[in-house]
Amino acid sequence: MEQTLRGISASQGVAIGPARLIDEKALVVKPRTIPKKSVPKELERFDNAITRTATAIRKIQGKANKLTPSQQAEIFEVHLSLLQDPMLIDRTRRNIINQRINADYALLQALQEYQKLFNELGDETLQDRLVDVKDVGKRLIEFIQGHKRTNPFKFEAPGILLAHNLTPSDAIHLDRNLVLGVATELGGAGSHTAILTRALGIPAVVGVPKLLSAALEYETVIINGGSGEVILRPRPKTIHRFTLKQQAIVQFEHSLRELVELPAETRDHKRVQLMSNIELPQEAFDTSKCGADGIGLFRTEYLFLAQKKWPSENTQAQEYLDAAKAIKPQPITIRTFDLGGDKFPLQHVDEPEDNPFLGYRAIRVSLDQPRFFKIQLRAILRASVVKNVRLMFPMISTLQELLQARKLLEEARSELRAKKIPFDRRLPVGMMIEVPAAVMVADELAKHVDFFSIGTNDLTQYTMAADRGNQYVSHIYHQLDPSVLRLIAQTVKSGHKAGIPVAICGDLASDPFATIILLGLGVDELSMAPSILPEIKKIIRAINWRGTRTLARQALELRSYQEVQEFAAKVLQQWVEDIPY
Amino acid sequence: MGKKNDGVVTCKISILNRLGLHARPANQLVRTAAKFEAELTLVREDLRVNGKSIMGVLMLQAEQGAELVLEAEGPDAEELLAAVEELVQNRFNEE
Repeated sequence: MEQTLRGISASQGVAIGPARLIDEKALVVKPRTIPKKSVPKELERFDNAITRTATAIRKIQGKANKLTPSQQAEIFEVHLSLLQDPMLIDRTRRNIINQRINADYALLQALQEYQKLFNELGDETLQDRLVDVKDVGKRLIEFIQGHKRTNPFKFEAPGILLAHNLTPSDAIHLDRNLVLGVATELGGAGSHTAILTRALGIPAVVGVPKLLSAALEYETVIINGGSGEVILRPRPKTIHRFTLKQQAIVQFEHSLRELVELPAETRDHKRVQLMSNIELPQEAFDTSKCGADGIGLFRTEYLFLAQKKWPSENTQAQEYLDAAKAIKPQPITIRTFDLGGDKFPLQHVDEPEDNPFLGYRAIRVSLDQPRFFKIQLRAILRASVVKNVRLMFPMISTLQELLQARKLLEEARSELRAKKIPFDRRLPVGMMIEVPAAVMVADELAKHVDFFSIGTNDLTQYTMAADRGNQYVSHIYHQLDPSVLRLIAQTVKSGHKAGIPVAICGDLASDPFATIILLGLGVDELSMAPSILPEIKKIIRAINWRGTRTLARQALELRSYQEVQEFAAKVLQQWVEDIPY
Repeated sequence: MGKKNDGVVTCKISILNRLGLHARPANQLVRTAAKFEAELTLVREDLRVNGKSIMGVLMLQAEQGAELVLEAEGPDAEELLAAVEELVQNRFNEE
């Protein structure tokens, strides 16, 4: 009988194949009394096991570093610390000496003791750490006992791995040619298993209750990573359906890879600027790899975060310069600090604000602290010698704010000139449109900037008066709401009338359902996370720009978010045939 | 930093970083403490743990805002506390 189990989506994709159940082979550890004279030798055996385990962990760590960003590989640093943990190590040694028992049993005792303590004290996060403690403990015991560690997931033929849980060191051994898919009983979307399978591109579902008791070895199983479903003993019809889906996904991904070198141009040769949003200068390199036309938004808040104070002019200039050089000759838009709101409340605000999103944030903070703001402006100007830098002010609400910011920029320029420090005199200066008030006076604002960039996340929040993080009002917060679309339309109109381009750098830019409508509204540039960029490029290359204008006009007349969403989905299906949504 | 008569140096800290003393910061803390000869004990309410033991530090389950007392004993106790305090102040360089 076909049976569908539901878990948590961990890694996208569909896998079909024979089930391979991995039951943790329990280690056999038996107590043995040792003669007193053997105690030093037993201690030595334990010390050797520690050294060898450390070597093994470092080896895995090296492998992990290549696969995933350092964040994940850091878990092995924790493993290395566990090997030096006085609670674990000293306790084991004391057990060996005092009880005159074998090292592996002495260690097991220590492990069990701490497991008990953790269970008594701990919440779920602490239980997660217990997985790490057990992982290290198991390796140590294996080395003490002199086992050759056999990789338990070495399949002789391709299969789907079903396990209770994967430890980080187990997961790192996954061979993507043999492990078609993974499902585990434990784990969440942020677990080691999820992160590693995503990095390896193996479809995976985690947190599937009763998986091992419901599945049978070698029976066919389907992993639907996208929906978080595991289908046991599927009917032929189900297999057929998923085989087709699998093929569609493979084809789609393949077609995306071919796009990297191609321009983001519609069938009727309208060129759209596709840019990436980045937070760290290092990400500038990813931008060129994903086929972007440049960086549409370089957030600078990380500099503040790293130091918790205003970073120096030299530090900032160096960071901006690094990013500008990495992406040259493509353009990079550097946005001045967008602090406050939900982003790390500033320490010099004495009392928490009642409404931080309506309070002291972004350009308001910068204008309030002109001395520090000018440090940033000078640093950006200094980086502009690369000649590809654009500067952008966040969250302008009024013309006065914009003029004030421009005045400080002018002062920063003269200060550099006085010191004979070079900068790009024609540095383009733009502003973000995130506040409905700015949309209403966009025609005036446009006279004083070289470009607009619409931040749809905040614009939606302020338009709908709905906090996007608040679940009680999430039904009102939709970036495709007709009201938001109309504000975008008006911004584009005002911008174009003044002869300046209009970009979108909020989440709406990375929504495949929005692409056609946004182009139809006349948006010139879309800026998004590098990972989604090829998909958006594919849509752009499949459509006729001329046809989008009528569609956008129709969308503006719709009465609700639901209507817009339905309309957008229908249009997307019609225009882009092989999109697997 | 206060000095008790028995040579134990103590100070109070509160955890500032958003995620609290989870694996990565806990690891940074024990690695920092390990550089010093002095012993370090962390106290949260009635739970006392060895500050050089990652399991011990994790057991505190200190979230953002948690208040801890640090006790260091040994020749370089004050330097040890200063180093740990700096780490906490810098929010473990958390992003």
